[in-house]
Amino acid sequence: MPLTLYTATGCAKCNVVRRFLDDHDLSFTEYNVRDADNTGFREFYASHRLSILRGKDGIYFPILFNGRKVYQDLLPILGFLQSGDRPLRFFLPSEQPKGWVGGIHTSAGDPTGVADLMAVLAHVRKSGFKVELFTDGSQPEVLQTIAEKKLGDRVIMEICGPPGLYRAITGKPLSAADLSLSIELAASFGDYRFRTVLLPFVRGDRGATGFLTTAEVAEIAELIKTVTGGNHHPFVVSSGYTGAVTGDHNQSTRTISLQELFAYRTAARRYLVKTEIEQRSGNLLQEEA
Amino acid sequence: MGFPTVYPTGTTIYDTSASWSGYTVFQAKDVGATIIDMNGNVVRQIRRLHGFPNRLLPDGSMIGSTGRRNNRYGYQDEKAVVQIDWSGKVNWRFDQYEYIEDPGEEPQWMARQHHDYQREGNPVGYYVPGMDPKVAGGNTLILCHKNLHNPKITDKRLLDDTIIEVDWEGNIIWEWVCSDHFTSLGFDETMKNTLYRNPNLHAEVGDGVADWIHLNSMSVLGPNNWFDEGDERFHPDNIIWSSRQTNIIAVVEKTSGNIVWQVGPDYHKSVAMRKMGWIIGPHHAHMIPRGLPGAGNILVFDNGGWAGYGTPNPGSINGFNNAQRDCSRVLEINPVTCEVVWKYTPVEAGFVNLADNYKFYSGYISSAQRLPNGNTLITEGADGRIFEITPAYELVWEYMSPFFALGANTNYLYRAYRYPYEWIPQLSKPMEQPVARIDPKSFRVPGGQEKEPENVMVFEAGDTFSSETQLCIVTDDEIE
Repeated sequence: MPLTLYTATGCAKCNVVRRFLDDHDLSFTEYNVRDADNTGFREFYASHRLSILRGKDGIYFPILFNGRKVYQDLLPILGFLQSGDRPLRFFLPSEQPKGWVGGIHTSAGDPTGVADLMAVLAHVRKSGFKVELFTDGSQPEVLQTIAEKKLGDRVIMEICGPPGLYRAITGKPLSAADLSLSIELAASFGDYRFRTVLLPFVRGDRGATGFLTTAEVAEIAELIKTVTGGNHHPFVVSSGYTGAVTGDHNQSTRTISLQELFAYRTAARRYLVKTEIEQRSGNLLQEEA
Repeated sequence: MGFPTVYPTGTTIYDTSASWSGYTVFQAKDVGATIIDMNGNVVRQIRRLHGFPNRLLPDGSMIGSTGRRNNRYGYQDEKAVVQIDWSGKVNWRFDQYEYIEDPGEEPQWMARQHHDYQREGNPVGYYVPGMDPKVAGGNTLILCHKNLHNPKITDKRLLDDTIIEVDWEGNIIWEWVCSDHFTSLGFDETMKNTLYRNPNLHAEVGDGVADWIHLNSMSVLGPNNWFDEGDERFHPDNIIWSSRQTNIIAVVEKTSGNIVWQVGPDYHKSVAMRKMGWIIGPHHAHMIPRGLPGAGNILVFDNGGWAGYGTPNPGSINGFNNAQRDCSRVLEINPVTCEVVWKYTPVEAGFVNLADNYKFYSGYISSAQRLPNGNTLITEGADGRIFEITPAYELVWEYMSPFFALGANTNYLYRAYRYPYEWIPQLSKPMEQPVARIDPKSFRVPGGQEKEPENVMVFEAGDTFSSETQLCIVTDDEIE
C-alpha cells in the first residue's frame, strides 16, 4: 500500500507523523507544499479537493494518502497508521493551541481499539505534544486506561444532565455509576473542567422540548461535589452551542440567554462555588482551541 | 498650600432659614456609619458598620457593608452589602458574587462591592420626593469588582468593574462587565498604547491588579423629560456611571448593555466638550431625578487632580494620568447639548481666581446632591468637608468631619447624603441652632494675638493700598 505524505515546512505535527512512519519502517513518499516545485501536491489537491479540510488559516497539515483514502491532521493519520482500516472513531476535528492535540473523544470511539489509542497517544506525548481529552461520561474505562497510563494532560468533561436524563438528551443511556466514575477520573487529571451545555431536548416523560432546569443543573453540581468531596471544581454552564457532540442536537430552536444563565449559576454555586457561565456559539470542540 | 493645621471641626456655618435641614449621613473614617443633625451632633452612630457609601432608608434602616477584604489581596472590595434595621437586625444581605480564598483568610463569599449601589424605587440613593427606595423588597444594583484578563486592553490582570442586579433573595439577575465594552469607549490609539503599558496597576495587591477604569459611581437615570420627548438614550432604566481613571461619564442601555451616551475620554473631541472643559477624575455623576430642581441634568463632582491616559506632557512623562488640574468643580450639564447650565468652582466659591483655586479641591472621592429647595450638598471629601450652597452660591451650611483616620493625618470622607427628618421616625426632630460664620480676621485661639497692635506708625511717603492684585499669573478671563 503506497503511502504519500504531504507536509509543510515548520509543521511540528508533520515531524511527528514522519517519525512514526520511520519508527514503524513504513515507506512513504513525501511532498512538501513549500517546495519550489510543488506539482505533486497541487495535482493531489486538484483531484481530492472535496476530501481536504480547510481551516481559517488554510489547509491543515499533515495529509496522508494511502491510494484510496485521505487522512488529515495528526491524530486521524496516526490512528490509521496504528489500526489500519479499522476506524478508531476517537478523533474529531479540533483546533488546538500550539503544542496541544485535542478532539480525542473518549466516549465516542470503539472501546476495543483502546490499545491502538494508547499507542497513538504515547507517540504523540513522546513527541512533546500535550493531549486534551473530551468525555461526556460514557465509556469511563477508556478514560481510566488513559489516566492509569498517564497519557492525558487535560480533560473537558461535558455532563449533559443528571444520569436519568442522559438518554433523552444524548440518545443513549448512561448509568449513574459510569457518570460518577468519569467525574472522579476527570478530577484526577491536573487540568480539567466540567461543563454543562444547555440545549433543548425532548423529555421522555412529557414529550415537550425544553432545557435542563436550574434544579437539574444544581443536581449535576451536587453530584460532582458528592463524588469528589470538593466544592472548588471548575464548572461552566454554557449556552449557545449549536453543534453536535453526541447525538443530534441540531433541533435547537433557541439558546438560553445570558439573563437566564444567571439563575443556573446561582443554583450550581450552592455546591460548586467556582461555577461560571458562558454564552457560546459554533462548534464546542472547535472552540476549545 | 497654607492649609491650617488647627481649625474647627463639626458644624461651622448654619443658616437655618436658607438650608434644607435634615440628617446628614456619612461613613466616619475608621468609626462607622454616622448620622448628624444640622448642628453636627451625632444622633446615631453604628460603629463597625462599614459603608462605601452608607445609605439611609425611609424607616430608619441603614445600608452599608460588613467590612473590607484584606488589602494585600483585594483593592477596595467590600465583603457583604447589608441592610440593617434600627435595632441592628440584618434584614437583607448580599455576598454571593465570588467565593474568595485569600491566603491566611477564612474562605468566604464576597460581594466585592465598591463605591455604589442603588435600591429599586429610587434612582440615585438620596432623597427624591415621591421616589422612596424599597425597604422590604426590591432589586438592588451593585457596582462590583471582578478580576479577569482582556488582551485588547492590557497584558496585565484587570481589576474590572461590573454592575450586577440582585433580587431580594440574593439572586443575580443581570450583569454588565465593563471590559466587554472597551472598544466602544472612544479611546484613540495613543490612549490605548498608554493604557496597555500602564493600566493603573496596583502591583502590591495580590499578584498585581490593574484598576484600569475605576468606576466610582453608578445610578439609574429614572424618569426624565429627555426620554419622554423621544430620546431613547435616556430610558429611565438606563444606568449612568463615572470613571475616575479615564475621565469618562457614560450611560449604559439596560437592555443591550451598549454605551449610548458619553463624555470623555477626549474632551477636545467636540465643541461642546471643549467648552465644558476637561472633566478629570469625576465622581458621583448622576442624572438629577425628576422632582428636584434641575431634573434631567447631569450633576457631577469634577475633581481635577490627576487621571487619564494619553499623550505625554510635562506633567506626565509617560502619558499616564496625563490630565491634571489642582482644583475641583461641580458641574450641572444638559446631557443633550453638553452645555454647563450651573457650576460651582473656586470662582463661585469666592476664592481668588486661579491663584487660590486649590482652596476648592478634592483630588479624589467627593460628591454632589441636589436638594429639594434647589440647594446643593457638596462633599469635598479629601479634607472631610461637607457644605450646602444655594443656587446663587451662598454658603448656608458647613461641616468639617472630626473623624480622623487611625494612624494617618486625614479625615477624608467619601460621600455624604442629606435625608429628611421623617426618615428616622425613631428620633424626635432635633433642635436647629443657627451657627453664624466666624470672621477669621478676628478669630483667635487662646494664647494667640488677643488685642489690636499698639506699636503702629504710618510711612507718609508711601501710597495708600488699592484693592487691585497682580499675582504673577494670567487667568482664563484675561486670555479671553
